[in-house]
Amino acid sequence: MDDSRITKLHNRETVVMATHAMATRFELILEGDDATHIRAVGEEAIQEIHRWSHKLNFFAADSDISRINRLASACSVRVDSELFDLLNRCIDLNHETAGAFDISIAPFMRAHGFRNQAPAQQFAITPTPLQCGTIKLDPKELSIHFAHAGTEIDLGGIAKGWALDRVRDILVRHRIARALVHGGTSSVIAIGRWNVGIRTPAPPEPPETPEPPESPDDWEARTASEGEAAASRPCGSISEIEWMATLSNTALSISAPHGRLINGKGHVIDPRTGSPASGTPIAAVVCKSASDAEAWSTALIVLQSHPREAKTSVSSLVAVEHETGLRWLRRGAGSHVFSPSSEHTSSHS
Amino acid sequence: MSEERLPTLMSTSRRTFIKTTTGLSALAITPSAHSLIFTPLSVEISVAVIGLGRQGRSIVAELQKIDGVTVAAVCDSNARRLELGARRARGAKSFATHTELLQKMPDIAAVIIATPTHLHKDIAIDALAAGTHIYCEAPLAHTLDDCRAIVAAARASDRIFHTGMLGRSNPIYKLARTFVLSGSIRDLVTLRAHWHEKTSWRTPSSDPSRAKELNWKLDPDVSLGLAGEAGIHQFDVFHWYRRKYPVRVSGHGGIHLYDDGRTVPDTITCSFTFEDDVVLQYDATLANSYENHYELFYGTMGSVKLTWTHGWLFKEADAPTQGWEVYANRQQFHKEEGITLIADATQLASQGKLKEGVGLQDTSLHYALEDFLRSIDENKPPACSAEEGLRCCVVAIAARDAIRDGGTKEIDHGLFKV
Repeated sequence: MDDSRITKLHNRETVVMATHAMATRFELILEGDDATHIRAVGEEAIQEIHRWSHKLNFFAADSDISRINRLASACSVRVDSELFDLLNRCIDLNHETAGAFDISIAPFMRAHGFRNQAPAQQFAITPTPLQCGTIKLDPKELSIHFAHAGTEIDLGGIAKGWALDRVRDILVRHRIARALVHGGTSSVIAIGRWNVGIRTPAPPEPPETPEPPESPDDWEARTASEGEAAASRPCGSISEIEWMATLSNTALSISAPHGRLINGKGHVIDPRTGSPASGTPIAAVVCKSASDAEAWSTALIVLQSHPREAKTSVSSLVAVEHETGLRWLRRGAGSHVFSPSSEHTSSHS
Repeated sequence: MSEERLPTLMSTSRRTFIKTTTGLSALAITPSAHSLIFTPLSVEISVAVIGLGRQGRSIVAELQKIDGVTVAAVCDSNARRLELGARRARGAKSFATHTELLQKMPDIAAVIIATPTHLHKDIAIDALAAGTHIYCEAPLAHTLDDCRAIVAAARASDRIFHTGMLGRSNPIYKLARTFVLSGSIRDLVTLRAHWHEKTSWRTPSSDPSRAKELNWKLDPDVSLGLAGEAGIHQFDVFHWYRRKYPVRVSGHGGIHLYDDGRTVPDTITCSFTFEDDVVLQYDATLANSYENHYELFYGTMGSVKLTWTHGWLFKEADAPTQGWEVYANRQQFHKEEGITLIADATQLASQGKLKEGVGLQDTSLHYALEDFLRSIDENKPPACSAEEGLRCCVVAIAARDAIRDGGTKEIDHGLFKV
């Protein structure tokens, strides 16, 4: 845990805590009546973040993901029930996003230099439809097996969201009245009602030489608590905030391809082609589940201007930037297909 | 000067020699591949986990990864924890008391005890009487009387009793021990260990009547404090490596961050003196996280540093070079002015900067559970017996008392006897 501060607002205690995990900074803003109790709950939440950070760490030799990547091509690898649930959800999301979200993307990430290796000077990646078809889950044995050698999974596209969902479970279980928790400011969960501003920095100039992978999160979500600046976090001037999202017991995730660049190309890879996605500069998804929001925000970058391809049972308000500005898309009543809504157009709320 | 094989060093190129003296190069200690592969069990083992706090639930998760093991039952007196644990251990039967579990699950082969320390004794004795093998989380118990009762019950039983001292099963630690025992760092000069985690140790409870029970680590009547609950694993590493126990301990403790009415210190320092006058300096705190956990052995010809996932041998400039070192993995650390400080290598590894990349492939807990199951399967002695658990508790309790009372406590080795 890196930092904690306590302030008092409206006879409520506000505790702000933070920690570094998953190559980013998680921050928890918790409100309630008893600062000692709130801090203890926050610590339990932080422990849970670290637990998942360790389990899902692609780079750590002793993580569950490394163990799977090391062994699953050769044999079935038993996993614990929680990780099995996460893997199962990832397979479902792959189907729901028409292949745009795919955890078996690691070889492509490596080839493009996003896994701490120099990008291949030349590579010819043969697109393989639905790579996730190589992942076999056995619900009876709680095991995973790769049907094809060379398969590797990387849950970096959903890990923050999954951790935030587990944090939400802890906060709700301990009856925390109001909370805002984010991971790297690109994935946020809200308990209670919060207004969250979204600011999009300009894409950086392509560097002349390849850069090592950095934190994927260049976004900043400024928060304003019921119109007031939160005492523990200075808020940027309103002119910096381009969009506002009101979250009420929901999650928000924002993705953009230029969060990380190597050779001028962004880190969001289209699993269907193996190439970096381009075109859509930002995608933001609001829904109940932070994991789904994170997966979908990445998938929408890949799907670009064709979100109609995707079908989902998640009730989501989705924003995809078009050349005319941010357009909010709402799931059509009675359907599972997104279509433009005339009610919500780009503006400050 | 003893006879040394100097020619190897003398034949080293001048460039390498200078690098050795001006920078601190470390040889990464990497176990050979075979020690990391778990040979499948010859029989299926059904296990019950008693105590479903964070550690108990971690144990459930690790057991689920091991072929041949079934978590058949879970137990906790706290309904919420029982529900959380049962959710992880799908298919396992749930019980609120260990007596009910032992009565209704006679086919359970092994019990893992992960309750608060002061509850270990009754569960251990009952489980041994029921004929189960036992893995008991460290520390063994919070009083010497409880420790002795457990040891007596373990001796009277023909079941495996494994005290969960994590260092003894850790492949890195096992390999590093061979270096220390073989004289690679020659004579020990001093020892150091440190446990830092910024956390309050407070467990949230929405039911005020259960707050004290859940926050037993902060209860001076039952808690061994940082020395017992955190330091125990680290003290045991030094006992195991040195094959001896300290004869006295001095301690100091204070509250530096958590001014919430607690009396159990959030920060401690201890000094353990062995009979050969080698001293182990130890500190632990809940108020800072820098460098997490490590143990250091400083010798006249080198030093060994262990961090639970990695280990390094730092050779002195005048130490002879061994033939195998030509092929060993090396890691260069930054040098601080004056005294060389070693950056946390675990962080380096997580950033992908460790070229070798062969750290531990499972957690220390996983290896300890594997060793326990292997002992059952092959009917061989546990990695750490109940008696060894008792001895370490004698040391930890003395440290707790020294911290509480201030000053120095003699560690009576007569207390090791049961």
